[in-house]
Amino acid sequence: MIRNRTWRRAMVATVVVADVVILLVAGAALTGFLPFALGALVAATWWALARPAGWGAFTLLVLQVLCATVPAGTPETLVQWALAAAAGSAVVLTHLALTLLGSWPVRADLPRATALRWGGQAAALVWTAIGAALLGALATTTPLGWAPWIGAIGLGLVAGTVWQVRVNTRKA
Amino acid sequence: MRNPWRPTRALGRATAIGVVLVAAAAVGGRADLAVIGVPLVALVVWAAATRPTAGPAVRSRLSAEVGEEGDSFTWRVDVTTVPGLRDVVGHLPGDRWTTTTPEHGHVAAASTGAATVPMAVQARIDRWGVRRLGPGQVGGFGDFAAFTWTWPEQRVETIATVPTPGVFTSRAALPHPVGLVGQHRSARAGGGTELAEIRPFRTGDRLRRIHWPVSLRTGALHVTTTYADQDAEVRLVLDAIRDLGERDPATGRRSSLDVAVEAAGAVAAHYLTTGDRVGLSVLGGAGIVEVPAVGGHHQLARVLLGLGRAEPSRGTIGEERALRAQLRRSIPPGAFVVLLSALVSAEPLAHAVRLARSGHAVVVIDTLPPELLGEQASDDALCSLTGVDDARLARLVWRLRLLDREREAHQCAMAGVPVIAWRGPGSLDTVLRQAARRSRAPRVASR
Repeated sequence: MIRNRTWRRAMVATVVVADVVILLVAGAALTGFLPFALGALVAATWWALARPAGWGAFTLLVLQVLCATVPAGTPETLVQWALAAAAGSAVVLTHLALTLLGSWPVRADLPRATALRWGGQAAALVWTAIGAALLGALATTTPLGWAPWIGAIGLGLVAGTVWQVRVNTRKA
Repeated sequence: MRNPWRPTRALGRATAIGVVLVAAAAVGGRADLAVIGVPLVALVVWAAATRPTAGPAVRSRLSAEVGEEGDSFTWRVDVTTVPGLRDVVGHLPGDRWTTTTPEHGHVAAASTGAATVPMAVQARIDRWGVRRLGPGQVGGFGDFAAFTWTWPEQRVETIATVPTPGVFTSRAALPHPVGLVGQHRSARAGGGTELAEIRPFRTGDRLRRIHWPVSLRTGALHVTTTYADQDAEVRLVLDAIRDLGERDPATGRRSSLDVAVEAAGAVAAHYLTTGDRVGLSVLGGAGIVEVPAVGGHHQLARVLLGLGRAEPSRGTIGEERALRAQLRRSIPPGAFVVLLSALVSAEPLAHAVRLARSGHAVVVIDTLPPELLGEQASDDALCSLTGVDDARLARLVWRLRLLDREREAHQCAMAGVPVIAWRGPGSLDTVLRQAARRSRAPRVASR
């Protein structure tokens, strides 16, 4: 069992680190956007952590998406795709952390098996973001005629992942 | 049948943001939006693919249903595993006189593939009585807490906690022993151990009763006679209509019901060891608690279990009817009635006087805690007792009530029902000796 204070602090830290990643992504695209992004994210993060099961969580996710995408254009270089992958990972990790904070009883400890499973599932989703970014990078660095094939690869990956998930989890 | 699993707000959040981002990426040609949206859509697809459909069954049980003060129990809840169930959470709270571990009662467990997911809290019972654990709430989650299920029942588990009897001894005999066997000396001669007299031999006397020294000295056969040994019935009547005072284990304070239950347990334990029959009537709010008067070792457990069911009255009409029905019950002739009361309810005192007038030996044990009698009673306690918010007014009201109480106790004494305070061993000796003297004294009979 992981004591409730420990895992709750870890989740809060996850949300804060994700905010920092989003700020770095926004700062890399447009430095002047940082003060606005900082103020908005701080306020939304405070609201989301105070009421993780309420509208604060939704607002924080929307603001993170806006801060990561508004100042930037369509990624073209590998670094820009890496930043997009980092933003995608930050958003999904924020969602998972707020979900756990909102759904788990405040005082309850977290079983280690639960923590391991959530960690593994979070890693899988992060890899999905990285995979999507890699596909995007591949599409932008290859001739335009390859696009249907890259799209088919992407769809195939999604279908394979869904099938694997269904096969592996229906046993339980 | 409807699926008992419901989507959570987190699933709605991920769906809304993920779908909007992917759609915006497709419409606006912004692939970075897709990179952010695809993991959220993948999460939604994953959660939907593994969505549980069947509601788990829950089994809630206690490790024991009856115990003693200070005993620890395990409250265990087993949730059967269904496909898609990942985590189970529960809130299994104790009541005021129960210490649970964990203290807040929140427990959680992960599904590991076993047939059931067990959750448990340890509960230590700190006070006698019917302890109610719960209501227990149980819920479950699927992957990513995207779907949730709540156990529709809110189960309350009850533990009958028997009190620890106090210490009591008495050297005085009971006034009206009427049974066949026991340790009390009968007024009649018969087979027993205590010497009654030495008298001349009569036809039918047993030869082994011949007293040879006296027979040789007087020249005529003499025999010894003994008093018969008899048992008595002790009827304990516990006035649980009101519970005055607060129990505080830290300071050792006890409520009036605590004192009454401890005293009743002690008296029952003493008289059962002397071979008497002990019965119990509890006048209060827990329905009719009647334990028939029986002797023997097991009777103490029955009496303590009955005492453990004592609860203060809530003032309902049903309780009033039950009280009247209990007060109408007849008590066998010759029974020694011990009423344990805080002397703030009129009905039990009137009942005691009625019993005394019908020829029973009745003693009232005053169980009001001493700290409520004097000036040292705290303002909070007096406000709670009287229901008056103003502390000065509450003190005045309580003082008036005490004066009324003194008057009622005096009237009881005048009607032949002694009122004594509970002091443990020897509490009843004086009144029992007085009752025995009264029963032996010559009476004026009207012809």
